Amino acid sequence: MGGFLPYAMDYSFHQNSFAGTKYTGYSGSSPNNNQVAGGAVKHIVLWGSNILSTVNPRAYAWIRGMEEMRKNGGKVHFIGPEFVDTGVTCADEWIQMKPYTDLAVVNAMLYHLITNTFDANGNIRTDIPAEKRLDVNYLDSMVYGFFDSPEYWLKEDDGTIELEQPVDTTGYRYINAVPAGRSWSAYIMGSDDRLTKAAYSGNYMANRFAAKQAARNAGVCSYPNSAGAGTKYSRKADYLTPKTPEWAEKISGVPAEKIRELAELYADQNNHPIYNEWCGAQQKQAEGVINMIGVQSFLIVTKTWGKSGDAFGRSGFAATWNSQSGSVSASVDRGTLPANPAGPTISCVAWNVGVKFAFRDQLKAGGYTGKYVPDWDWDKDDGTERKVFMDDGGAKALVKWKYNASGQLETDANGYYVPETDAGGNVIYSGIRFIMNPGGNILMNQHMNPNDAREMFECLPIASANPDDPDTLCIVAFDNFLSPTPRWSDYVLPAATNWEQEDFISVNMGNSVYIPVVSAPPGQSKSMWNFTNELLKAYEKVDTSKAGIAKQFTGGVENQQIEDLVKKSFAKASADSASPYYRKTWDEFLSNTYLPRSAGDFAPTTAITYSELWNNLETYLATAESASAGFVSSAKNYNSSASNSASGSFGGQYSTAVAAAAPKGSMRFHVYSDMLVWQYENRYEKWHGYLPEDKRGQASIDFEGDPLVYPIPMYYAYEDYFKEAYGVMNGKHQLPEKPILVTTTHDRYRAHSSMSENPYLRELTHRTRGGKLYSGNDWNEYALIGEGKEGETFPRLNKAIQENKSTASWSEIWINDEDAAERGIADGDLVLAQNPVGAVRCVARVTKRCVKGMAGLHQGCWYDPAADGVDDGGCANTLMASRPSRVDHGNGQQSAMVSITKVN
Amino acid sequence: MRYAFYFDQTRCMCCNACSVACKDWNQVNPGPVRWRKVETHELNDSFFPLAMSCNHCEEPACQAACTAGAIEKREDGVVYVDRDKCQGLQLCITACPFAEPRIADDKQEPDRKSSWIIPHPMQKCDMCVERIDKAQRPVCVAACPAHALDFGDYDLLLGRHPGAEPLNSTKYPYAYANNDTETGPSFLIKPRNPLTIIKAKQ
Repeated sequence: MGGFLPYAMDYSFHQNSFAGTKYTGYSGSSPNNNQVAGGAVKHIVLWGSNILSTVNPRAYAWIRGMEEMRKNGGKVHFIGPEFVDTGVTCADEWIQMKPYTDLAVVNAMLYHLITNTFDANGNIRTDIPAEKRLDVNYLDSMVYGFFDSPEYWLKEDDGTIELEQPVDTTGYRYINAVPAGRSWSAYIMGSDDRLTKAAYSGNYMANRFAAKQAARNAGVCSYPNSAGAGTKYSRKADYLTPKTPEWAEKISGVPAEKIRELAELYADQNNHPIYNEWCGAQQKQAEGVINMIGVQSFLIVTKTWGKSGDAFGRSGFAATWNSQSGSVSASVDRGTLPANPAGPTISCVAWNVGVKFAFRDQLKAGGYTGKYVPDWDWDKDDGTERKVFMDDGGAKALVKWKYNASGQLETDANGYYVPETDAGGNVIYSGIRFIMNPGGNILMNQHMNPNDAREMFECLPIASANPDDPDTLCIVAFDNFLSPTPRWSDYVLPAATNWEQEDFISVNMGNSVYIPVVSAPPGQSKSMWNFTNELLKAYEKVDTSKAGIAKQFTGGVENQQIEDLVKKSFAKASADSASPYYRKTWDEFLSNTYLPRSAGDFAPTTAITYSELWNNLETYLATAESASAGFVSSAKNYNSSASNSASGSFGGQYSTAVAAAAPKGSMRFHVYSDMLVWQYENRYEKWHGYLPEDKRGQASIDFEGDPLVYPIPMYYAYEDYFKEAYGVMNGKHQLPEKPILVTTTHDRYRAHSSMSENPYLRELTHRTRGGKLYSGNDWNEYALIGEGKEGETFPRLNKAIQENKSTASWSEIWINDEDAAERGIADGDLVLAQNPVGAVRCVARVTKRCVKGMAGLHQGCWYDPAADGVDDGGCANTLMASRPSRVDHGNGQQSAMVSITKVN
Repeated sequence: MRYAFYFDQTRCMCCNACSVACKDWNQVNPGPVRWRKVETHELNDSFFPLAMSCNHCEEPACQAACTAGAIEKREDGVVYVDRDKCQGLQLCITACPFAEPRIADDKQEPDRKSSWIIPHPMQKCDMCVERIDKAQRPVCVAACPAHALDFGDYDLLLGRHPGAEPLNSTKYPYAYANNDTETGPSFLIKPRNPLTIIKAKQ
């Protein structure tokens, strides 16, 4: 059709997908279930993991794996603020930690290991056994940025380095300096100057560096703090503080002694493999990218990689089996489809800002106040400069672009893309003006800040009267749940349910499975496949140049269905004597589409394998002290992941001059990533030629004029984000009183948000005043839509609440027992959780499963604002600020600070 | 023959699949009455999953208390209620140590059967007699994705599951919602492994 706007990342794993391992080069290797069961993994550390709930099909494999692991003496540690079901079922130990403080603990663990390794004069200690110390030769030879280092030229083939630029730089790569006081260890040590004292020596790299830099660190921590003692940022005030376990204890609650013990668990190679499991919540935070990079960096420093099982994964170990031949597939040959026009790829969460970017004038005319986005000074926009809140993440690349005759984007002499202009010579801000929403609840519910989305949608002209008018936002929902998003859409088209449409799906841990139609879709509801087919047929009538595209979509056969494709594949398999379906009939296939497995697929193993990189490195390190060159692996397998490429679809387009200045990967692990900062500051730069020079790329400036993004995994104090997002920094609000931090764990009962109003599931997490579990929105009670008469008011979702019935129920919010007592809240009380962004009413579940200072409002309830503006639906996102997560401009939807009070 | 349930506290992940499958199969509408209930109990700084239903006791306190003769125990151990005989005296509810007999309200049970004496006779788990009589497992057991529930003859279950022990009020006080009368519950349980909590410092 006309093409679509591509996006990067997704709502589940925005931060982790963004981070990947490219900024560190981390190369762990997740174990499979058989290695866990057999004893090839000694420790499992669950960083808040909620895997049994979020990946149900793998739950049994996990439970069994850990059961067997325990018999072999293995141990499961759970670190986190909420003891989720996975912890209840699997953990031997729960280390309570306040939310968002992972990196305080990580930095303090390294403080302990650094002080175990270096004495007060910076000399390597001999009074501490080697297994409790860091491997300094390894850090010097293989880890970039743990210590300061001068700039150098690295010869790629033999690992020798030059400190002055060689006359012929062929075969060399230039490696940036890690400036004085900017390495990770300098930050960790704060004002402690031990690493600036003893000579930089002991191995090839250290000996070479010493010519330009006397000690491992050239200075104490030197990160900038423009406001000095008056800074409002806790992080900056802490730059010179040594990041001791006692420092981290105050922040995270984890006892200093436990931090030391954990650090030594990792340092001692006898405890490895240690499998680490990250969780969605650990990355879906304001500082989620840094969390992921920080834990990776910690695992790099402690050599928690290289052995099978030493890894940082998610749903990382699963049952594995040999793939079988002769399985059934469904493939569609669509031939050559029209190419999507070239254009920017934005963050998937930047659609919201894209709408504001398109309709800035209409929002102004419609009375939009922006009051739910306190860190955005929309009210001060005097029209002289087109400003949109947080218009990075791709939004301000959304202008109308010029294409040449062959459909390529035009570029100017400096390499910038060229925008189209209107008759007055003004750039046309296309932004986002049409949203096709097939089965999703993101727009209103699953994106942060539904209050702001509601204000935005309600201040824009309604499109349904004139959908072709580009000055109206048109949203089309194709869905089978009347969730909040369809409720605020211009068109709602009925979709068939899963049971009313056929599908061919990939089953977690299994072969792909064909699902036939169980019951015919009622009325005009359609399967996704037929909806698309018919939409294309209709489009062919509008745009005759696209004739035949519907037939192309269905694989070259008019109206061909998925069943036809699967039948073709099955016919082949049933004639193949090697296939498990040999001589089976179609009906037999439908009765069980799973492939049979053999017992041999599940044999536990005790074998630990080592990566080639590990083996090569260990060989090198054995002679590091006399080595005549730096480490270069013959496999060079670390090179691709740590190469710090300047490309990438998420705004990775730069003008020629800017691209030339991109930092290079050091061919080693990075715990200091200048590329992270460089990419942040220059992302989308090639799309910004229409802007003044100082507005190109992304804004990296905080409320005090210092940079937003730094190259090391420092601890970004959580309160700083709230001061920014809630308008404390710009003087609009204060932080909530008696603050409680909120996380939004996924429980099982909503399948994200789809099943939010399924009474059988709703009654597992909703309670009446007094605490009785009750669905409260039973049959014929919720979201009753009237007959659509003019003037009819839009019904509330929670009719039982609106009508003040005794059966009215609210979502649970989990509150620590001591917090509840301090606030006079008893289990079963109706409570109000609020912050400057929004407010929700919930029923308190008083529990020891939350640490003090944390509350859990599980995600996925449907937004349902009452007349007083408070969300009775219990949608956790009502409390989530619009301010995107740092670095990736994603959804930090596990970050909220609230006050909680009893509703009388 | 003594039919019994086995519950593995080291495997239950509190997903409620058993509980919802039970309501679905037995056509119990949404509402407070549920024949199998899953809870994570908090006791002595640890957490204990428990999926409880009627335990089909050897000496059912409910049966002894019921003066209407509505509760019977089969040869194979299944304790069931003849809802046509229930007079709504609710003596069973206070007698059962586990508070398992349940009474619905008009909302959850809007349709009254003509054979009932009262609008909402007592109801509870009947071990899916219709299924077990056809050699199928009770639906809660069949639905459990963690294989934490099992069903069969009491002695066979004991042999099949090392570490299983009879439910008792000393070790599992949270199971005894009403009283700790010894009724010989046909419920075997494998206890959760010890948990160490490193408490957050304030």
